[in-house]
This record gives sequence, structure tokens and C-alpha cells, in this order.
Amino acid sequence: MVRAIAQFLTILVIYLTGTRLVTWLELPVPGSIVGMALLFFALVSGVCKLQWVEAAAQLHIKHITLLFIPFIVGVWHFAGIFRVEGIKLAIILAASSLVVLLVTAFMAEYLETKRKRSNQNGNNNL
Amino acid sequence: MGTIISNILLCTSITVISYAAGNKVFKTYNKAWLNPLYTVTVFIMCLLALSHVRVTQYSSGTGLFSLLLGTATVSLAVPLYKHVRMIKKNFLIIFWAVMPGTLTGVISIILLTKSLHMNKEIMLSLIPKSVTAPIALSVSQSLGGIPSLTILFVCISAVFSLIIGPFLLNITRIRSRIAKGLALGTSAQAIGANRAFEWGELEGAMGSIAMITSAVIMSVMIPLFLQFSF
Repeated sequence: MVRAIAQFLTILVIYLTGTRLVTWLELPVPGSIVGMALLFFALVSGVCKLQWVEAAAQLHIKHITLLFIPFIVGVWHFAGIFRVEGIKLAIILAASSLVVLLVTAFMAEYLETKRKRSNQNGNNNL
Repeated sequence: MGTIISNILLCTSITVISYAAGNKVFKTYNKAWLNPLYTVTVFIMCLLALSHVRVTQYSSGTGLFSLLLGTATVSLAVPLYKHVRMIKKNFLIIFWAVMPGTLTGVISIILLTKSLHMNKEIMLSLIPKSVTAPIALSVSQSLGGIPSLTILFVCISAVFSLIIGPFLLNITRIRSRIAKGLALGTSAQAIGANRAFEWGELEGAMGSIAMITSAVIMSVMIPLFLQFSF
């Protein structure tokens, strides 16, 4: 328990550093993303050991649903939008989800086939 | 002062306790529609309505969760670090698949909202909807959208992508395991990555990587959207 709290405090300090950096440098990205980048590079470079943050990080990600609930409850306030624009919203959400899904899939499929082909050519040349 | 603190304590504990109970029910009966996201949200809404508490009063008592969404985003560095080798090996594919996917998603939203004459606040709330919720939330705030709406849009489109994704990838004959994982992770984030793990370790890892990559790309592109949407 103590260890989990210590780990959480480490992550919290990194998060607050991220938000501070964003304010100081007037960066146009969320502080949480800068914090994530900080932790990532700290892990890669070995400044921060995985064991120092792992348990608390996984606990967060596992129960992330809990953190959304207050926001979804807050949506009640805007229920009117769905009565008026519900169908339009449904169309936009569905269409753009399909675009994201298909563009990503086709690009990756295309690039991987290309890489496989160039690898094969490379082997033939040897 | 005392009432503010007791309000925070009350709202936070009600949310946590309801979640714990909802999670238990979900684990026991193992039905998709019993996901605590729906059951607990509806439960809390009913509770607020019955006790005549305003939603705004509840929202003002749940600031702790916004902070935790921030630390949750920082925590995403851990799965990213665990997959660092796979990222290095496939960096070009990951970037050149997730970036166009995320970007065309945003462009489609801007074009559709404009052609359907939706108001700008809704458009700004829709723009970040294809990335993982904690980041969608901060992007929505920076753009001037309505964070609550954004979170709901994120959930709706993730569930939609999760239902239709595997079927669509099948009929479009996507064979590459990397492509399948990336597509589900970019469109359905965490639940997409979970689904991708059912296909295999590689698909699942690609799903989690895609979820984080698309979030980073989205937050870096904010200034670009601000220029385009005005």
C-alpha cells in the first residue's frame, strides 16, 4: 500500500512537472502528454526504473472507467443537443469512426506488404 | 469551506463505491451491457435526480477524477515503454498508418459538421473523439469544446468501432496482423486494444501502441485545428 502511494506520488510529480512546463514554455499540448513523454524518456534512459511506477500505473489504466463516470454524468446537462441533433451526431460519429478505422488499416496493410516485398528483393539480391 | 469539502468527500465516495459495486456486478455476470461505464453512470444520474442534487453540484465535487485522468495519461508511458522494441522495429508503419487515420478522421468531422450546419462548439467537442478519453478531454478543453460531450462521443465511437471493426477488417480482406491491431487501437482505443489481444500478442501490442500514438498526434495537432476551424 505504502509502495503504491509512493509510486502514485512519483507519477503525480511527473504530471505536475508536465503541466508546469506547458505553462512556462507556452506549449500548445496538454500537460499530461508532456508528462507522459517525460516518464517515457526517463524509463528509456534508465533515470526511472520500471518498478518505481509500474504498479500504480497499471492500477490507473485498469480502473480508468471510474475516472470517466463523473464526466458522463455531466452530459445530462447537454441532453437537449441529442434531442435536436441526435441523427446528425450519429451520422458524424459513425462516418468518422469508419474513416479512422479503414484509413489506418489500409495504410498499415499497404506499408507492411511493401516492406515484405522489399525484404524479399533484398534477400534475392544476396 | 466545510460544505465544499464535505461535498467533495460525498461525491467522490459515492462515485467510488458505486463503481466498486458496478464492477463487482460486471465481473459476476460478465455481460457486455453491464459495463460499469453504463450501469454506474445511470445509477448516479438516478441518485442525483431522486435526491434533488444538481448535476453541477455533483460535478464540482469530482475534481479529483480530473487530476487522476492526468496521472492516468502519464501512466500510459509504462505500456509504451514495454513495447519500445516493437515500436522501434515498426516505427514507420505505425506512424504512417496512425497519423493519416487520425488526421482523416478529424477532417471528416470538420467537413461533416460544416455541411450539416452543426454549431461550432459541437464540432470542437467532436474533433478529439477518436483518441483515448483522458487526452480527448484535454484537447477538447484547449479547443474550447464541451469536455463532457467529448467523453461521451469518445465512448460512443469506441463502442461502434469495436462492434463493426473486426467485421469490416474481415470483409475488406485486411490480412496484416499489424494493420488489424493498429486499426482497432486507433479507432476504439483501450477497448479496441483489448479486443486485438484476442487475435494475438502482436495485434494487442499494436493496439495499445496505436492508442497512445494517435493521442500524441492529436494533441500535437491542436494548433493546426485551431487555425483551420475558424
